[in-house]
Amino acid sequence: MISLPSILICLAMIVLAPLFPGVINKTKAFFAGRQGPPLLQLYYDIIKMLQKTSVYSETTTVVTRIAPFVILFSTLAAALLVPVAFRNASVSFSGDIILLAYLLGIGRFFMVLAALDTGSAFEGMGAAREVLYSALAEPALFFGLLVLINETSQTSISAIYEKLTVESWWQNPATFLLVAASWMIVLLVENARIPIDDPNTHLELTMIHEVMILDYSGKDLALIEFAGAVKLAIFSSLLVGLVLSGQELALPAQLLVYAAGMLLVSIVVGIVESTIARFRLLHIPKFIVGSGALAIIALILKLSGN
Amino acid sequence: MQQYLVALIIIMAGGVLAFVTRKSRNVSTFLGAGSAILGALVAAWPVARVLLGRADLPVLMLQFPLGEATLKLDAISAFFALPVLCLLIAVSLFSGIDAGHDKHAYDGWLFFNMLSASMLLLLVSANAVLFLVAWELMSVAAFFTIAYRDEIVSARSAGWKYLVASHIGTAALMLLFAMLAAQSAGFEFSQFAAAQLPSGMHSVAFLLALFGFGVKFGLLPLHVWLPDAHAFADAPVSAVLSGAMIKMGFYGLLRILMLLPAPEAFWGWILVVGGLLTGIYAMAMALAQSDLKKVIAYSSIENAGIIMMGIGCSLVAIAWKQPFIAGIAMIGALLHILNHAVCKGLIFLAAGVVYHAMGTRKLEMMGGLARSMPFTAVCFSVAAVAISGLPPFNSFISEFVIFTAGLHTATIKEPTAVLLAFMIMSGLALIGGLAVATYARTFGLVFLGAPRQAKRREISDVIPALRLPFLLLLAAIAVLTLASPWIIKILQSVVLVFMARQTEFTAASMQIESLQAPVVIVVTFSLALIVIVLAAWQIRRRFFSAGDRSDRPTWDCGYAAPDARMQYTSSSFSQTIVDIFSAVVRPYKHGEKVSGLFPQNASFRTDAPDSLLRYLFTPIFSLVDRVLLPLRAFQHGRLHLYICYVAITLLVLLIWKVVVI
Repeated sequence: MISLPSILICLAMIVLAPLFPGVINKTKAFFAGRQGPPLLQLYYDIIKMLQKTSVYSETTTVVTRIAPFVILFSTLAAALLVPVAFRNASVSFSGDIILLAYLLGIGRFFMVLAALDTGSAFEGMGAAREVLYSALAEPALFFGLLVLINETSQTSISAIYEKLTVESWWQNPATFLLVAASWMIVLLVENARIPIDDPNTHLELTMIHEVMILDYSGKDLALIEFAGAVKLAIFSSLLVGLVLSGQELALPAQLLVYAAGMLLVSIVVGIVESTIARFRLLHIPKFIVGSGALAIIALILKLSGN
Repeated sequence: MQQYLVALIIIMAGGVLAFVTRKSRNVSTFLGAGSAILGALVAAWPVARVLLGRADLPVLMLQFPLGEATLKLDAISAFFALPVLCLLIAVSLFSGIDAGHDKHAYDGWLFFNMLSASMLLLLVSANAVLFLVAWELMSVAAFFTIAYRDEIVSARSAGWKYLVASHIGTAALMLLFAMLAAQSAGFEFSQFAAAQLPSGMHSVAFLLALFGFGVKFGLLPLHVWLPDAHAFADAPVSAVLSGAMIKMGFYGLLRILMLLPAPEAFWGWILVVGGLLTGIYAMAMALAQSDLKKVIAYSSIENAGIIMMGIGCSLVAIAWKQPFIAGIAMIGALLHILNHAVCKGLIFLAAGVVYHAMGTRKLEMMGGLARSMPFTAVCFSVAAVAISGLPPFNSFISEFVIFTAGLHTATIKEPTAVLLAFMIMSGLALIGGLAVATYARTFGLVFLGAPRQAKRREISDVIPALRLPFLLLLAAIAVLTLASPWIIKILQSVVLVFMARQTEFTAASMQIESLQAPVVIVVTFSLALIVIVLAAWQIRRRFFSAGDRSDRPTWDCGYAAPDARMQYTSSSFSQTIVDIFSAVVRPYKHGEKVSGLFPQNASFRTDAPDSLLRYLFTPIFSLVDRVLLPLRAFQHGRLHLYICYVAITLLVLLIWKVVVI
């Protein structure tokens, strides 16, 4: 099913996506007692980088040049599948969330290849970590999904959110809280935030995502940064939909509640980043598996409540 | 049907003629490869007609001196003939062209053609004896193709390992058929199907079939022959073994299931759990390998795991009377069989080209090959993306279908249903994630970065003529992707033939349309993604690349003299993942620590032999070896005493018959 108004709202989400990293940074600045970069900093960065030329390592091949487009367009395609502002997603069908997860997967695959393309030991390190953490995070996303499917008997994420009501939260509060917590962790993992990864540091040895794009510059880097912002918006939307779906509201109010929800997710990410230290690399897999375990507990609670 | 038999005879006769003329390499190659391709094309016609439902081919009775046997080409047989025929054409083309210009290329046509012909014979055997004969012919021919380079010790031992494993499997099959034959009027499959077995026997029959055929498709822990056999065989042989012969195991299993009445739920559970463990174990092992072809071989086991999960889910759903889930899970599994065959053929041939160019299969020695072998790199990358189950290629669609079966299972409000959905979803997601890691690592280390060893010789891409088989397989991937909604419709008829004994499973109850619509959207997304990415990249290259430069070294944190040896290696890439699976993957680590201010030369090497082989089978077989050693006294090589054994045996049997019966 294809919905035109949803495409417009989805476009708005994509255009506004670079705002959310700004909100996260403002929150972090607030906790650190700084003024912080402007809210629109990522827009400025992207516009500035789009005007610059790119420098490629002489080791690289066509993979490095094509990867930014794969990353960007697979993320944009995934954005079409996510329900925005409590409406059906632009395109919704049975199993859409599988396609969503795997579209992000192909983007990741090419980011890893581009990292290996440079032949840099640091980027290889980042690539190795990225593939491991995402392999562990994906089951956690699906575990939460199973709970929702079993609750609503629907197999499309839009239909699931449409069926979710405030009552379903009241009936199984613990279940839904656990799923939300698990998906929050997946959001942190997939978007390379603290406590898994540090988007700010320049210490390559401890980084995951940032180190993989170390050799990108100019227009290519702009595309990748933009895709990263859209990806954050996708996961935030999933979380907002899970927590706030089921309101009987008019469209303007819906948009407002949705926007508030998205900001809230960014602020929560900012708070997490300000209050928790980055984990040691060895502990990260346990943390991610832990998020899957939360979702499994939710599933068991759900089944015992049936 | 006669046409199909003619094809078999062409392939086999070509193999024999190629053997006779082996002194003259060109003639032999022409006869061997030509007959294989011709035979495949001839057989394709009846297969296509059966699959499209245009014709019910008449059953053919063959008269043999000791009895008669039925040959029958039904939809299931025709479907499984597809990967065989497809790979036969591509691989024979590859080998034929390769052998034409390279005197070291594979040219064991007799056994290659015998392997192909016996697989095609197996598919139409509707008689247990003929089936076993074809099965053994296939197994033995495969042994000779694996051990073709018999001057290499490891190839001999790989072949030997395969032969032992394969015969243990066949023993179970003989037991199975003997058991079925004892309850029915004869050895025909139709008689087996009509037999009234005591209910407990069904499960025993299923377990025997699972064991016997599981050896072929690599069910944990019976997979141990597979990595070595695929690694040490020549690339064209590996492509056929992995793409087609492994699938014969699934064919056998499905064929036996068709002879038994409605499956019990626990059969399906065994397959789901077995597939899950097989898949995860294979991927953990694949990541620890440093041999290019072993990585790909373990990935075959992983894909077999996915197929098992699909079939298992379908069996459970049949037992639960859920036609839709049963239908799409089986369609997903069948589609994955086809997709995997094509992708695995492509990737094994590409790996063979890499091996040939580099003279080694060690990942640690490779790197930067995309520059000198762009065509091979493109083929390998497409196959790698496809085989990892990522969009936009075909294997994603079959995994998507199995995922959909899992999603629909989760809507049933039963704890066991959710458990099944949980296993399928988590299994596919985890296996998929690890497959992405495996193939990103493999492609990245072989084709990207800087060469890891000093250039010993000039590396060049495949010759233009040799591109043809690769283009054929790429085209097959494109067709399987774009035409998948239509292929699903055909597969539905195959699945209906499979479930013919479950009368409540009809085309109407399966509601295949509600699967087709999502698949159409997935295909649209895939196509759009490819087109938009390529267009955007070209636009950027043409119009927005002024001032870009690519003459700088990679940024290495200010280090002034980066070196190719500083790159991440295959073992460093997978170390963190392998550490997580350290309970099952136990790599040997050789080397010494670097110490002191002015350290001496140091080296480090890891090696990950199959854990189950090392900790399970090696102890068992050495025990068997020790126990049976005294029996060697009976095997002394003196012929007259052997004849004496036969006489004594006959005498004992005679006395037994007279006295006891």
